[in-house]
Amino acid sequence: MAEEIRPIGTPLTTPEGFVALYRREADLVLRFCARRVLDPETAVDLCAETFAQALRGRQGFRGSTEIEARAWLLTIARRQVARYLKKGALDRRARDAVGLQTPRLQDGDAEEIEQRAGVAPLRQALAEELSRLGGDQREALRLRVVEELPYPEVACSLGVTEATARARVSRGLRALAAALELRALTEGDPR
Amino acid sequence: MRVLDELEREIERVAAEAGEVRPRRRWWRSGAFLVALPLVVAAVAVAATSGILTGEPVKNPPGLHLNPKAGLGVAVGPGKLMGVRAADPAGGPDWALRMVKTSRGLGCVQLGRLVEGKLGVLGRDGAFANDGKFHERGAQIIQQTDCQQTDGAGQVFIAMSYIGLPDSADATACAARAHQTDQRPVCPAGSLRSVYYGLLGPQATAVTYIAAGGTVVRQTVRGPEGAYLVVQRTDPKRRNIGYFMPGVTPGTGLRSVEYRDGSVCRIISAQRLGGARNCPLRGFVAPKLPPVSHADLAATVRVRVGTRPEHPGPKVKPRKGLPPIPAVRRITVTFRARRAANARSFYTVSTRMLHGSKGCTFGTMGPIAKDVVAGSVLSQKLYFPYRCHGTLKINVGYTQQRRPSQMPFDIGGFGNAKVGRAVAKLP
Repeated sequence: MAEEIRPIGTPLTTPEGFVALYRREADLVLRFCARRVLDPETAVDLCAETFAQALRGRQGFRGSTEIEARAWLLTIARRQVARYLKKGALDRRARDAVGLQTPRLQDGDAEEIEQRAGVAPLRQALAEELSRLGGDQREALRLRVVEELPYPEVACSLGVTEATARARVSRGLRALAAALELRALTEGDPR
Repeated sequence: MRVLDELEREIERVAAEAGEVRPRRRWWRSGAFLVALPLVVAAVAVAATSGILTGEPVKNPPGLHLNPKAGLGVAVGPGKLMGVRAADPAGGPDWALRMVKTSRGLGCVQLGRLVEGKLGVLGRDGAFANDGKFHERGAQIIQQTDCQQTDGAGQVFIAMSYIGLPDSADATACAARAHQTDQRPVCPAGSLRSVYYGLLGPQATAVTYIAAGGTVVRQTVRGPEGAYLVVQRTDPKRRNIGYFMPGVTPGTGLRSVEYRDGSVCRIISAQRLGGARNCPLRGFVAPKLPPVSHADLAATVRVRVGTRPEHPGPKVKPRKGLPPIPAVRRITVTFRARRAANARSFYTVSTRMLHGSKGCTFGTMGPIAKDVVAGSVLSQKLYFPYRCHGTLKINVGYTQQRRPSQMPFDIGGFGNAKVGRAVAKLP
């Protein structure tokens, strides 16, 4: 669906412009993070860190439309999510630098975030797509992603070489990503 | 959504504090690099948005050797910048706080001026030869670092009052008032600040204080640490300046502390002499330490009394008009530590002079503030004026700090002799 290209009214380099960006995109960034980490609390942390990084780097934003601002923000969020998934730890540097306090979740917040981000259907879709994968790939994914075993141990458990174990995990992830992408296109993606 | 609304308020606050900045220019397109090149190779850097030049970072005093297993330990990591900010009465960069944990498990607050998310000092009032630049002060710098033992949940409760701190945030560069033994220049008039800051824990919600015009100001504390920070001009008529008071509960600089349960602790009370009331440490979790008795610790305490006059430490040339530094006698106390020691459970040595000569009826108390392995032999050196004669009573104790104290390593009183006692004759 095409979106209207609107120019940014107030530049992001002003406090008003940056707050307006937050008001426009906060919900989207939070859903974006929640769908990727499947944990509301972590998603709020990632969302806060994304905006803190954006605030620090707002001088470098060169776009002039709301779509460009969104793309810039989602790039920051994507990097945050990737760093979190790779290292298993949340980055706090930008928040510490600007003195941003992350709000704590209270009763009902987690459920609301999960509902808005469509986490429950996503989990269900993930389970369904996992069950469609070949047994070898599914088991390799389970050992590597769920059990967080290193590749040599995954290979040992599966009785294959480490290279084969890596290939199975990689192919399994690619197949899952493609299947979920297809679902998003056909069922409507809340991002 | 509630959590996004709360985050929005935080975004509004930090965006307003950060202010407006200029978009970064693409300098390579304008040919400006021909002008900028000499600046790039210059030794200074300009902070991106503040317009304040940045100079060399603050260093620890030369000759300082910090031991990660003794004293306060050394800072672990870069620390956490607290969300609280305070404007200086004369303008310029805000004041801010940072919390760091040390290798010995203590929690510390560090105070300074904030430029581009970095804590540091300003080159004025004698600091950095009045170069007007900003100098970052890293977490490992001991200057303006105050620590307390953490509670059982790892939380830090600390309350500091600094009366007469230069607005550079560098207390070492100038003297708040002239003194015979202080060679530093006196701080310029109007440059001194009274700064009240600390961490009140997870249950505190706000503090109130009386601002310059006499109005009562309410400040919401920041973060789960309960950080607060108040900066005011020091009254130029005030005579007792240039000192700080550590503690775990705020002093008379604040008016009250408010808590989540709706209760309020009024610090200033007309009925109390001195005016300060200790506020409760809501949310403090007492550390669980296994009880240790005299039977667990008892050991023979040996004392060796020095026979020669000594001048320990670095050689200092006596200044004109001041009497020479008197010689001292070394007393070495040795015992076997049957239990391990750390920052929360530690050995202590206290002394009391019995039947001392004139001017020598004093005592000393102090911790052996270092990590100790059970079974090792500990040796502690004490120094007493060489001219003093008499009988010295020595108690070696063991303290387990379960409750907060005004300063870390509070040893209690002279009576702690859980390890043993000894008596020495000073000839």
